[in-house]
Amino acid sequence: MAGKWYHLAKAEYRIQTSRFGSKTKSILGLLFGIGVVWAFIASPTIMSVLFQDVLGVSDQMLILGMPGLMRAGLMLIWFVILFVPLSNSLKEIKIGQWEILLSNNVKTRDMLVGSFLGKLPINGILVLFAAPMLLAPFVSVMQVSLIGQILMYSEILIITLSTVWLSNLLSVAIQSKLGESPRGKDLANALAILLGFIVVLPLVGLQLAAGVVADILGLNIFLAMPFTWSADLLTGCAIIFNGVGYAVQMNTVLTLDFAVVLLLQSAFIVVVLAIGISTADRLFTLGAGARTESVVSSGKSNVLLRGLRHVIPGSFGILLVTAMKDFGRKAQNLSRLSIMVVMAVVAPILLSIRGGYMPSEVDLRSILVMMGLAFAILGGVSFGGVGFLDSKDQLWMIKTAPRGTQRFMLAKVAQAFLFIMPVVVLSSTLVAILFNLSVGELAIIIPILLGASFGSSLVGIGVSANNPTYEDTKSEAFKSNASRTMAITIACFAFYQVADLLMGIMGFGALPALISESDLLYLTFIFAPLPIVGVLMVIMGSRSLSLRE
Amino acid sequence: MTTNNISIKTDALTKHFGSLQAVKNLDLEIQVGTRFGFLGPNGAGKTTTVRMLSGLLKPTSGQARVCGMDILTQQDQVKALTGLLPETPGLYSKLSALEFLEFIGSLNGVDERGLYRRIDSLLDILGLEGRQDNYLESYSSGMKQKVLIAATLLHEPQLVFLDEPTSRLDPSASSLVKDLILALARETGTTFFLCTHQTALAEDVCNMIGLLIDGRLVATGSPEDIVESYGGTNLEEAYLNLVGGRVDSEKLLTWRS
Repeated sequence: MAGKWYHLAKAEYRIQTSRFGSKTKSILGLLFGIGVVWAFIASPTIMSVLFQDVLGVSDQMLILGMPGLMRAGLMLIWFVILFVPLSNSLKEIKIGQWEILLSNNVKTRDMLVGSFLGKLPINGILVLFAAPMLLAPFVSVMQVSLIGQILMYSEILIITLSTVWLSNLLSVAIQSKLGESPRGKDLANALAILLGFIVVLPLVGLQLAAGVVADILGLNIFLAMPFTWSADLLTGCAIIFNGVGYAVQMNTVLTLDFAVVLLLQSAFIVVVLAIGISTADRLFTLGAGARTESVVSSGKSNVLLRGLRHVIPGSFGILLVTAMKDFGRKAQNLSRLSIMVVMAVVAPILLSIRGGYMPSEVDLRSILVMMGLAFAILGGVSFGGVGFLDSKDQLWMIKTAPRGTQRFMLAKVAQAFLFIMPVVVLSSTLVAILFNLSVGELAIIIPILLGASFGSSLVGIGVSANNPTYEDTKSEAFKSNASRTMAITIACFAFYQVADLLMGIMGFGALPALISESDLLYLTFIFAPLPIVGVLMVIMGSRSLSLRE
Repeated sequence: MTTNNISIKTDALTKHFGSLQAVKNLDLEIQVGTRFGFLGPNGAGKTTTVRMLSGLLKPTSGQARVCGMDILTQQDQVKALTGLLPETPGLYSKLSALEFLEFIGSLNGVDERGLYRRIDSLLDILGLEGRQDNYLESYSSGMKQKVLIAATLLHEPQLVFLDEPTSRLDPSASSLVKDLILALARETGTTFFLCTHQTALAEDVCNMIGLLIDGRLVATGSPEDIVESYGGTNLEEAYLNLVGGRVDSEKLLTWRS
């Protein structure tokens, strides 16, 4: 009789392949076949044409840059595989599901093994399609033999699977500690957001300053990271099995000896597997019920909220203060605001690194555009979605009050403004210090960025009010709102650039040139569309929210 | 504000969701001060009816007046005169009970001085006075339900819609809510419209019953009238006779063979 892990693996496999329906086996077989052709025949040819003929990168440059680029690529793959599933699983705590399994005498170890094996076919196919994008340029330029290629793809598969295993293990440990209470869910969401940011930040870094990131990864400190070992093993394989007669001492390319790297990589896999199997049953314990959970009390309102109540008396003052308390006490909202501060500061820094400028050499216009872009992208997702309403159930309560939705919308708009103000002031001040801006320049950038971030928040609120049908962050309606918010904010921010391009094509290039000459005109055209569209979206959202179904 | 002492009057009230007919030609008249129990199986259309009558859903056809107000044209007035306890609670987990009730009170425009007096009284009556400053995330489902009941009554509505008010409550809390309903109806003339599956609750609290099956109102009358008309010794048996759902005891164990 098959073990319980087998039934769990089967269930997980069915979940993973549910979109294919009854044709799962044929579709997976077909995908595998296409993947093999893609990995071993198509991608080396395509990448060779792309790098050599289109981008004009010489073979010599690719070979010399291989160790650094391999580390950067593997770091990205590792971060995506480790943190994205972890982040996704934290958004959907499955304690209830585990309770059912445990009551059927299933061990946590079986759950870990079953879930891992069930995801294996899909993960394998993903590796087959994604890995060639990293490996093919080097395989092509070094003319790596078939055995070498098989070894390289196997290495990628092994590091992927061990990372997926590690991700599952961490997910089980964190979920069981946080539990399924609203507080646990909030903390899990906050953590999921931060993990998502950890994945995105190196990606942004690689896009804007790949050379700098590769140089940083060449530092000895990164020899402690498992992705460095995998990258060095891949580089080693490409050199050993190269078909161009490239002969080089391995220790002049890799910091550590090839055998040491192989040993470290193997030890990592064995340790991760052993930890998972030996500790799984101890990691997961059912949490306490509502009565025995730690209880947090509201306490006295802080001086700012008391001041606000004093300035805005009456029922709207109460509404605004309670909306601020609810938003400010959620860890997930605070993590979004923290990311906003970090991204607004990091964006102009990456720009100066990419351009090779000293911070004092970067012009104010570029700083404003980079910071504004960060605020535009993040403002909408911070104050829309669950920052606006937790779920549709809350909406019924708000709708039962006369003019409840309009008053609620007004309170949420005011709340967004009050939260965004310190975020903008803090990040602008940090940037002013880093880029040696004067107090006068600081006084100019704060209101402009406030306009961008508040405008973006209004777009987020408006979009959520137009479609408040989500139950949680995993729902399709929620994802659709987030994409719509992002698309509208970026379109508003890029409005001037697109208009500039179109006017140039149509022969009206003189007007954009005139606008571009004046800082005032240029910044107005860049930053004004977002708050204007934001206000319109809020008005539309408020009307839509008030309508009866 | 009522018309001829009538709290709710519906005329061929109908609601479709696409091809699904949730409520069909509902004709209902409920007097002020009535404790009306709206019974029916899952998916019968009870919640849809309540949402239409409280101004949240637009009927596909038909008319209704609630507390003398037309639900089609005077929805804000309807909302001001009614209170709704929804079936699924949409509480704010990071607010305390006190803060949540402040929020609901201010949404309904309750005067600030009166608001805190009412909140204190309601929390005291519902036995939550010691926990009023704790975040709602730490409340049990029964305690959350009590907070929602307080939120529903906070603006002293003339008509209260309660969707499964005691489903998450333990027997003592359930008894407390029943007494609260009876006292409010008796002392203030408040009309109650209870949606429930619990026939015992309806029998204990309500003086008028409506039975909805597949969106159609199939029976109305006092609990005694219903029992007399459809047989049985109590409302549950009469309900089962009407709705069906009895399974032969031998059949119940056939899955074991």
